[in-house]
Amino acid sequence: MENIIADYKKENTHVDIQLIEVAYNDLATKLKTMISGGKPPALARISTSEIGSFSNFAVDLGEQLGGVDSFTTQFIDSIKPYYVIDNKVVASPMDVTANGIMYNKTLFDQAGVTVPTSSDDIWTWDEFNASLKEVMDKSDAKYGLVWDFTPHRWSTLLYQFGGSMINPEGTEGTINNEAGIESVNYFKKMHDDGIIPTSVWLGGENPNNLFRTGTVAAHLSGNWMVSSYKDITDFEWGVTYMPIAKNRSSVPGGKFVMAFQKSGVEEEAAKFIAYLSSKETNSKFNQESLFMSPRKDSADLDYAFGKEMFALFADELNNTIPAAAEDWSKQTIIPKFSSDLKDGLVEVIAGGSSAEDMLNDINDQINKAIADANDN
Amino acid sequence: MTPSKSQKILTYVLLITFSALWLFPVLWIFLSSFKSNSELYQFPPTFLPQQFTIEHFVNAFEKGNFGKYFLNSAIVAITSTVLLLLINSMAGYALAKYKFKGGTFILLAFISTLMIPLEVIMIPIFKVLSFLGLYNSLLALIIPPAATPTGVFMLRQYLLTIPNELIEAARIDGAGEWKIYWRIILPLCQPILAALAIFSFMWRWDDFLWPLIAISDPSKYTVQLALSNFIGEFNVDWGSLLAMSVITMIPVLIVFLIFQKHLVNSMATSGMK
Repeated sequence: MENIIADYKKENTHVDIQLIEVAYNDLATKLKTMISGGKPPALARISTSEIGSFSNFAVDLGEQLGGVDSFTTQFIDSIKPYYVIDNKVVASPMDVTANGIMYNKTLFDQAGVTVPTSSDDIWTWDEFNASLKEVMDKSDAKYGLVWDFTPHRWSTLLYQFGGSMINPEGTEGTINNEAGIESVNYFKKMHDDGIIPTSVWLGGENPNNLFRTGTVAAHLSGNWMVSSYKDITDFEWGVTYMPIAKNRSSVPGGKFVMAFQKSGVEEEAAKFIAYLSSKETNSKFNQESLFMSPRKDSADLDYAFGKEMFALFADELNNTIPAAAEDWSKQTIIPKFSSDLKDGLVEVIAGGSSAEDMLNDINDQINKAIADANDN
Repeated sequence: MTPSKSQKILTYVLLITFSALWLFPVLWIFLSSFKSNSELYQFPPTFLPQQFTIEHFVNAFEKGNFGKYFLNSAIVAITSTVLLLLINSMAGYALAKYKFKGGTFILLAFISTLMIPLEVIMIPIFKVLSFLGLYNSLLALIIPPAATPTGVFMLRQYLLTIPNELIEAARIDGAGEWKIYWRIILPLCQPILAALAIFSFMWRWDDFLWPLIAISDPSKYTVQLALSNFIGEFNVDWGSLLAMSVITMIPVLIVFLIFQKHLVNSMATSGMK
């Protein structure tokens, strides 16, 4: 990012850009105070959850970026609902993320278990569980699978089972239908069978650290972990296809840049965002940071590390059902129930409540959140 | 009455157990900061580093401008502590020894601000600061916490225990009010000032939320802000975080050692009972 800013400053000598790095957990606090204190930054790189909170304060970039339609067609379609709100371009995509599975190749080799190498011979979830069991039995693996402790990562399973959280029209919750219940029960079963260690979802243990110990066969997370796991030297690891249930699916996410109103430099900020979103700059940024580009025309970047891994994540994204992006882009509704969903899943895993009861309860919350959103 | 031998043994056993319990995390951070990255994640975890390395210290200093951050933190912690001692001792003295209209009300108003957490008044303070043009400067970290109600309260309570006769005697001898404050009150307050100095230095050194809000320019970052940048959305740079945490502990430790001696000394030698 520093290089990109330096390049831009060279071309635009009248502009000065100061890069402020803020830890992700503190970003929302900092932005909120800056905006309500009357000192908004010119622009910020934010994640999907901040788009929802700050879209009211965003500069509409549509015109500056060449019109809503001609701009959005340059980017993969699944993330469009995230950054186009009420036909306004409130942010511009910087990178796109896909959920996926990383596996400990050393452990799989030790157990003599092979992973699918093409999308034609993908595991079913039962087959995947059997393979993990075999790896646990025949190698030094202590645990089969660690799964990031977030509703977003859990929802991967929901979409694979053919479920969704909200109907496509956005008028009512659908999380408690048969597919939803089935996916929660399957998630619980994997915990009960000892494939997934309960320490992550019930004990709050960090799955990244567990995978790094080399005692875990696989990790369900996303493409962002590639740049983190790149420095692992104790064992070999790779990326493989996520299993199929009713269908294949990943969950898209990403990072965006948003320009803020009342910064005093709105126009300059929008110009810089146009620069960041161009094919050349965006490709450079993603290639160097080991991220995936959201641009349709730079899907095939020449990464210095893990080129084939990124191809696999891209394949997951191409085989993602529309519900995944439709659900998660509804950022006025999602925050109203996501932490209760997280707690609910924990309760089901711990045996405190049934999948039906928990999901019915969440579905009521979704319907209420939709009704509240319509009232305003 | 001298404690019996068994009582003594029991005391020591308890003291040692609890010290060990409290020291263990610190010790583990210290030892872990010398472990290689792969050893940090090793299972089962090791206690002593198997391969001693200082790469994390080198990396962290190369990556971040830590010299600058330490300087910033030191400037903030020291100046704001000096200011705090000065302002709090004056305020505490006035509230304890001078009778004036509204004194109790002022004291209550002071104490009631103790009940309000920073999170609630963050945005108003932020607005005041940006109005005064202090936003994004080290002064923004030094001035707002310079008069903490805790300190005023501590000093007032302590000064109440000093007999009025002492001050009256000084007045009779012809000492002015400033002289009394400077030559009599301050020296008598040494133990409580030492305690407050330790607290204040620690508060400012460890402060995170306020600097996060008030500072945006990376060249004005304090150590705690820089430390938090090792924690990413998905990854934590444990090596650098551990190494720098070890270094950030040192100044607080030094300040404590200096003032702790002072604290014990002045308690032992203050003649007034």
